[in-house]
Formats: sequence, C-alpha cells, structure tokens
Amino acid sequence: MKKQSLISFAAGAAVCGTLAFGLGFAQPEKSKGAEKRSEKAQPAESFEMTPEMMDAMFAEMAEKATPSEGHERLADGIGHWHVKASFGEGDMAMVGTGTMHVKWILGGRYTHADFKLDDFMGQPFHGVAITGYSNYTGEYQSMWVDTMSTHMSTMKGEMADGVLTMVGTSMTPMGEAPMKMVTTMEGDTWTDTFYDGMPDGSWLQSGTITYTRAAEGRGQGRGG
Amino acid sequence: MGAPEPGTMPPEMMEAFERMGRTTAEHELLKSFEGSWTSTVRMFCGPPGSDAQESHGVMVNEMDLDGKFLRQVYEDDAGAFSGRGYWGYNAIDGRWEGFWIDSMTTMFNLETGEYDAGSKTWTMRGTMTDPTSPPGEPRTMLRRSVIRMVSDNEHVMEMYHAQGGKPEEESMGMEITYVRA
Repeated sequence: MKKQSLISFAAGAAVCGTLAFGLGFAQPEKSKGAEKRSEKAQPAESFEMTPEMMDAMFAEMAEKATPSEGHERLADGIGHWHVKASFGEGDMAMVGTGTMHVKWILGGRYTHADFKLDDFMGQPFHGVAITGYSNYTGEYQSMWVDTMSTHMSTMKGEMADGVLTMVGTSMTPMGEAPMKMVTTMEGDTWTDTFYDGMPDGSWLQSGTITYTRAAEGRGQGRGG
Repeated sequence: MGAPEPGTMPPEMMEAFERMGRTTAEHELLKSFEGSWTSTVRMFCGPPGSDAQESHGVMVNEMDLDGKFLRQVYEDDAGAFSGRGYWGYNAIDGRWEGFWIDSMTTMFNLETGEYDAGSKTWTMRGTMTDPTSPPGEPRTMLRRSVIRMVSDNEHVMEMYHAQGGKPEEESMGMEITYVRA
C-alpha cells in the first residue's frame, strides 16, 4: 500500500485516499494540470495526525481490505450447481429448474453467482447475486438483481454452524417487503429457504431453492 | 417445467408480476452510459489549495438482465485497482439504485437517488462504513455522488463524504471525468 505523505489533513480528506477508488493504494501521480482542491470543499475542522497514527490507520485499513476467514467460509460455494426452485403453492406455485455458476471476483473479496432457470412463469429467468463479508462490521452482505424486477435487493446477516442467515428486502407483486433467507450448506447439497416478513413480525416460509453440485467446475482460484 | 398454466394465476397477480419487471424511460436513459469510457480520476486528499492526485483507467458499462440494470466493470491503468457496479432504476418505488464494490475494501456501497432532467444530473446518497474506523468500532459515514451528463461522450462524477455523519460537514474527495473511448 502506498501511504499518503501528508501528516496534517482535514477530517473529510483523511479517508479520501481509501474511499471509493482507494487511490492511496493505486499509485496515483500528481496532476499535471495542477488541479487544486477546492477551498469550498473543506470540512469544518481539521486535526493533526502523527506518523505513528498514520501507520496504524493504514495498517488497519489494509487488514480490513484483505479477504479473511469470513470470506473463506464462502469458498465451498464456488463452482457449478444444478438448481431447483419452488415458490408458493397450489394455483400460485412457481417452480423451475436451471443452473448456477459461482466464481470469485475482485481477488476473493466477493462471490459472483450467475443464476438461470430455463422457464419460470413462462419465461427464461436470469439473476445475479454478489455476496461478501465486511471485515469492518463482521456481517455477510448480499446483493441480488434479476430479470423479473427493476428492484435491487440487498441483505445482510451472519453465519453460524454452517448456516447463513440473511435479512433484507425483496420486491413482491404487493410491493417491497422484508425477506429472510436461510442457507444450509451440507456437502454438495445446499438449500436456500426464503421467508416473507409478516406485519406482526413473524416470518412465513415462501419458497426454497435447492442446489446440487455439478461434477464440473470445482477448484476455481481467487483471480477475477 | 412447472410454470403455471395460463389462467391458473389470478390475472391481477400476473399483471402485478409484469409491472415489477417493466422497464421505463429511465432505463432508456441508462443506455446512454453503455460502452467503454476512459477515466481521469482526481483525488483531493490534501489541505486546501493542495494538488489533486490523478490516475486513469477504463470503465466498461453494459446493460444487463434484459435491460433492467447497467453493469459496470472498472480497471485502472496501473493494474492495482478493480471495481464492479450495478446501477438501475427501481420503477416501482421511483428511485435510482446504485451498488459498488472494489478491490480496496470489503464493504458494499449502496446508494439511492434521483435525476434532474434540467441539468442532466443524478444525485445519489448512501451510507458506508468509515474505513478509518478504530478496530472493533465501525462508524457510519455519509456519501453523496453527483453524476452529470456533459454530452453523449462525456460525463463527470463527483463524490462527497461526511465522515462525522453530518451533511453540512461533507467534503469532496474525488472527481472522475469519463470520456467515451
């Protein structure tokens, strides 16, 4: 990591080299155009940081940016899976079969799942899930987008004893609603069980997706 | 396959599902960002009056999932930084939604916002974990992104942060100019 040379800078700028594009790591060069930081864009207060404080801050930031044991627990999901999905019941039943391919992206910081059902409610269905682990908060995080909705769903949660429990929101025909997803991981068979949040705070099971590992696709590295 | 036979699901429910996935004029607007864009990134890390730090990279944007979302892939020229994003318009709730992750943190960056057609400007707001938080004490900070469409071949994004969580104390940390490659 490339450390900033500044030892005195404003609070808002203290993080600029690490936020968003993290160029504190990205070997930036000085602007040839001598662009100046806007005087108006300064926070109200500034503080002094000693070199020791800077070293500690950057060491902490580097550690938090590095994949951890929390990420390692996602590793078994990497590969190709056969998928069976079932939501609702009776006349409202929606079922489908398909595939999911999961790979690492961004140096092992996140998994990227490409999820496809051949036919779901009369249409091909395609979804993308990105899942990670925040070293800052100790929470798992997931983002989901698909071809059935213009809504971006996000969840966060914890993993214990091989069970990942995440809570967030999803879009339903009735509008945005609380959702819980419980993922059990037993060897080459995984199951996502979905629950809808009820007005009284309880959870009602809404569906399941069962994943069976395909023979191909094991052993992908952390590139990508 | 077990898709419901036509007529088994109430028509109003089928209509509701159809509405969930319906794209709008806002999604047409997202298509303006498709393609490859070279970036000039200026980081404002120093005290007032100090020079910006500059780097360059390429953002490749493609519409994904039947035109519902813009998928973003960023690589910097130094090979030291990568990012991935999704940007969309939630037509049901009437808001823009953004997602960004990169190789320099392990946190999600989530934003929601609105678009001003007069100035061709998006304003996206969200919260994130302050990466300089002390060990075991994650702090939340505010972030605001302003994306302005300059022309069909250029757009500019400014990013502001409020480390103490107070909007009135936010500062601009970065400006990126994207020019169509």
